[in-house]
Amino acid sequence: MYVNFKGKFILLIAIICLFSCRSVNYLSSIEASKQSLNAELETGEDATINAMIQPYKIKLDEQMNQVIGETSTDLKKKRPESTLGNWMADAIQRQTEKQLGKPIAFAIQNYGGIRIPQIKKGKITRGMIYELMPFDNMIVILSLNSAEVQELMQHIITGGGWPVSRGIKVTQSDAKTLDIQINGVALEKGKLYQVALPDYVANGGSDAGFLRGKPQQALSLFIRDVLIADVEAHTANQQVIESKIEGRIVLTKN
Amino acid sequence: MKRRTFIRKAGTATLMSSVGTFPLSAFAKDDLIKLTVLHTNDVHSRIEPFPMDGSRNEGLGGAARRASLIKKIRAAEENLLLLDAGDIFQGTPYFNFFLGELEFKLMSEMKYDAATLGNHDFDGGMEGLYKQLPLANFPFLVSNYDFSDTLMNGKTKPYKIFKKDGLKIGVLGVGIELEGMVPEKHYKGTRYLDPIAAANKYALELKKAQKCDLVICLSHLGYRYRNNKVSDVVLAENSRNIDVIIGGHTHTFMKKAAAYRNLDQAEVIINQVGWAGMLLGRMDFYFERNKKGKCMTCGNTLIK
Repeated sequence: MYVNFKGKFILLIAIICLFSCRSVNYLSSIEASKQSLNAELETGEDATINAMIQPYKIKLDEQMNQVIGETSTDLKKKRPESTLGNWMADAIQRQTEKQLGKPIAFAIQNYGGIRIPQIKKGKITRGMIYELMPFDNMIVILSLNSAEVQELMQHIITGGGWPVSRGIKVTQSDAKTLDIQINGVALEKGKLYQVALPDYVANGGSDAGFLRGKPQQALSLFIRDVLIADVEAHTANQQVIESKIEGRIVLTKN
Repeated sequence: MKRRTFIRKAGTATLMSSVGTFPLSAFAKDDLIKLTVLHTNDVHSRIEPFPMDGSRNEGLGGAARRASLIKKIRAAEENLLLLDAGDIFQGTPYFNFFLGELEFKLMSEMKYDAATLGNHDFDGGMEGLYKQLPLANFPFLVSNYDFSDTLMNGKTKPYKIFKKDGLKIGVLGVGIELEGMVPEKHYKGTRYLDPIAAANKYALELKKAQKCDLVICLSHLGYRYRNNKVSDVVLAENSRNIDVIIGGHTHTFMKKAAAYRNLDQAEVIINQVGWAGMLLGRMDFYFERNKKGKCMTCGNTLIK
C-alpha cells in the first residue's frame, strides 16, 4: 500500500517534470528589415560568384550587347495604351503579315508579358529585346467572329488595357459597352477576323480561358525573334522605331 | 504556452515599445536564442545588376552583391537560414541560353537552405527544371503540387525541419495555381491541391507533432488581390500554426512586413521583397529559452 503510493508519487513527479521541467523556446520578438543591393553596398561583390558568372557572361555579352537599331522616342510600358505596347503589337502584326503574305485584322500582346518598364530613346541592343520578351512565346492566329472579338476586348479592358495593333480601336462608352472598330469599320456579324496573339494567351494564359480550344494557326515564330526582326528591318531600311499614343484604347473615366 | 500576440492588423504594425515587458537586454545570453532568416523572391535570373540604361532599376541587384552581404551576415550570426520563395528562373538571357544552370549553381554557392517553386520555374517545362535539379544543393519545398504522375515525382518535399542551437524550425512551401498561368504542356500531369488545406495540414504536423518552435511558409501565391483569389493574406487569415509567410509572385515591395490574425487570433507575419534580387530580406527571431513556464521577454515584436 505504502510502496504503491510512493511509486505513484514518483510517477506523478515524473509526469509534472515532463511538461514543466522541459525548457521551452518562446518566440519572444521579431525584427524584420531589408537591405538594398546597390552600388553603395559596403561589402561590395563576392569574387567567387563573379568568377562563376564570368564564362557565361562572356558568351552572352558577345550577342546581347550588339546594337540592332534605334528608337526616336522613349518606349514606355503603360496601361491602357503605351508607346512600348503599340510598337510591340504593330511589330507582331507586321511580321505576321510578312510571314503569311496577306493582311490580318489586328494583333495583341498580353500586358503581363512585357517584362521591362521601358526602352529609352536611343540605341536598342539585342539584350534589351531579350529582357523585354524573355518568354519563348510564339505567334498563333485565331479566326474570331465579332462576338469573340468583343469578348477578347472586354477581357483586355478588364485587365486595364493590353497592347493592340494599329488596326483596331476600342472605345469604352460605359462599363458594359465597347465600341470596336477594325480599320475604321465597326465589327460585322458573320465576319471572321484574323487575330495574331501569343500562344500563351491563345492557350488560356492571362486568364483567357475562353480562348482555349479554338482552332489555332501556329506560326513558328517566337515573339522575341519577331521583335528583333522588326528592329533590324527598320535599321536595314535606314529607319528608326517611332511610336506614339494614338487612342487605340480609350477608357471611360469612371 | 501560446506566445502572446502583440502586433495589430497590417498597416498599424509599427514600432512596439517594450513598456511593461522585459527588455531583451536584461536577459542572460544563454537564455536567448537568435535566429536570422534571410530571404529572396522572384529573382528572375537577375544574375547581374540591372543594366545602366537610365531606367528605374538601373544598377540594382546582382548575385555577387547578394552573396557578399550574405557572407558578412553569416560571419556575424550563428543561426541562419537562407530561403527563396520561387520564380528563380526567367527574365534575362541567362535563362534563355543556359536554362537555369547558373541560377542554381550560384544559389548553391550562396548556401540557400530551401526554395519553393514559382510558376516561371516551369518555363523550361518540367523536363527543363528536372535537368537542372542536380545543380541545386538545396531542397524544393512545395506541399500543394502533386507530382506523382510526372518525372518530378519525389523531387520536391512538402516541408523540411531545420535544427539550430536547440531550435526546431519547420519550413513548408505552397505554390500558385498553374492553370491559366503556365502553358499546360509545361506542367502536364501535376495535380494542384488547395494551398490553404495543404499548408494547414503540414503546419499542424510541424507545430504539434514535430514540436517546431517556428513554422515558416514559403509561398508563391502572391501577397494579396482585389478579388477572392487565394493569396498570402487569405492564407494567413485562414491558417493555424504558421508564424511567418515569406511570399513572392506579386513582386510586392512592402514598406515593412505585415501582420495578420489567423484563425486562432495569433499573428502571422507576411514579408516579400519586391523582385529581381534588388533587396535582401531579413528577419531576426529571438527565442527565450526557460523552464519557468512563462515568457518574460515576449512582446518586443518590432517590424521595421
